[in-house]
Amino acid sequence: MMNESQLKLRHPPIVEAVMDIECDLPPGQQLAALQGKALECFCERYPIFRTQLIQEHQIATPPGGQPEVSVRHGVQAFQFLQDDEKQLVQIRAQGFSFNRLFPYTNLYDYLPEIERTWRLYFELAAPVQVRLIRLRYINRILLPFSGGNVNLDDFFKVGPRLPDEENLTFTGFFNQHTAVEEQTGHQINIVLTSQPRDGDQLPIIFDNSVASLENGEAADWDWILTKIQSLQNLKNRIFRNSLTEKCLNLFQQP
Amino acid sequence: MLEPISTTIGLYCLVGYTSLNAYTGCGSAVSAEAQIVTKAASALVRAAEESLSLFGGKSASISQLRKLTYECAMPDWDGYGANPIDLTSLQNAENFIRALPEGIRTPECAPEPDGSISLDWIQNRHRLFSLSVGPSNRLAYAWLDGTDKGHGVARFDGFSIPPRVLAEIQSILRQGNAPLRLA
Repeated sequence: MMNESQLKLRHPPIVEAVMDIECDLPPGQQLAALQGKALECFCERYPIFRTQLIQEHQIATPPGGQPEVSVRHGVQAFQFLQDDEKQLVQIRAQGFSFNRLFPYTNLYDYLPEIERTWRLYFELAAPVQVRLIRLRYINRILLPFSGGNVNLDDFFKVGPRLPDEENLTFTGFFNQHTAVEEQTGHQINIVLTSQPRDGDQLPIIFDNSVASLENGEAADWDWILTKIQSLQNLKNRIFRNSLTEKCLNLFQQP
Repeated sequence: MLEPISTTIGLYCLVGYTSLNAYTGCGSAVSAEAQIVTKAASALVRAAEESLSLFGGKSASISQLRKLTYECAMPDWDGYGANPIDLTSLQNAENFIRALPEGIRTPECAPEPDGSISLDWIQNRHRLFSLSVGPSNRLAYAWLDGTDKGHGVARFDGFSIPPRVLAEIQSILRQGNAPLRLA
């Protein structure tokens, strides 16, 4: 089974890694009520605080009158960011998230901090049980043009197909696969989508998400860690088996 | 009374469609690339939701929910001190309707004094299922089937209907008379 040590890449294409732990929260608990204590818990290492809102805009015109615009907000999540905004912790209505943006090194470098912040969250929100653990790795892969074109098959083992490849040329695509790993029941969501040409390169977003839907004790970090490691292995296998050697070599070049 | 010309739920709105749901909003990722995936998935979902054959009944139901939210946006909308409908409740209710499997009738909706939204499947006064959607991920439900009745609380992840809830709705919507028994 492949592990992260076998996936050493000089320039990994990861732009964001996210770990979500979705929970059952105590009945009646309101996210907004946690704000004060959450600030105390996280502000030392994550001094930038943001509130993620849902927004409703309403436009109404009374008969013969001017249009009136109103906006309402609802709290969706609290975000605590490091000074460089490359790492954040989120307290969401559905649970806890840990995000690491580029530059990313290795999951095992971040696990101690994930465990520390999860324990803070556990004390703060008192989750009743864990419902889902998800790892999501968003990669941005820059494919070089060759003779004005990019042959996707040179770089991806899974990818989009056109019905008439001799006469049609891709100008964009959004390709999604969902699957389940039979042995573990882990769910898999893979998205490949193109971005507009960037100079002599074609950016492709490879969004690789795996999740365990097994319920577990929120207090049992060892169980959570076991799930994370299992998901990590699966995520790596998907990454490795989605890309050709030629594509992987792009990440090894100086 | 002002009439809504348009009501939109802004940047973080969930606009779900089957498995694309996970990418269309309210995700926890924050990078620009995650927003690109969200935007692309949302465009697909919007296209699907504009299709009558794919989404017709649900679209009408969601529109009804938004109208209800507009009408109950101010405190004391019932004259008895009711709370305004919470936007997260609206979002959860919309997602619940989006997640309903094909073949399940869309519910009637009504505001509740605590700011939640009630989704109801009413066959007759002896046979009904009622669900209360609030700002949390917990759904309180109750059903009546002749002289049988029950209630519970289930967690909704925003994408898939809890199996117990779905089974009860299907049971209530099933054709046939309610089993009336002597207590």
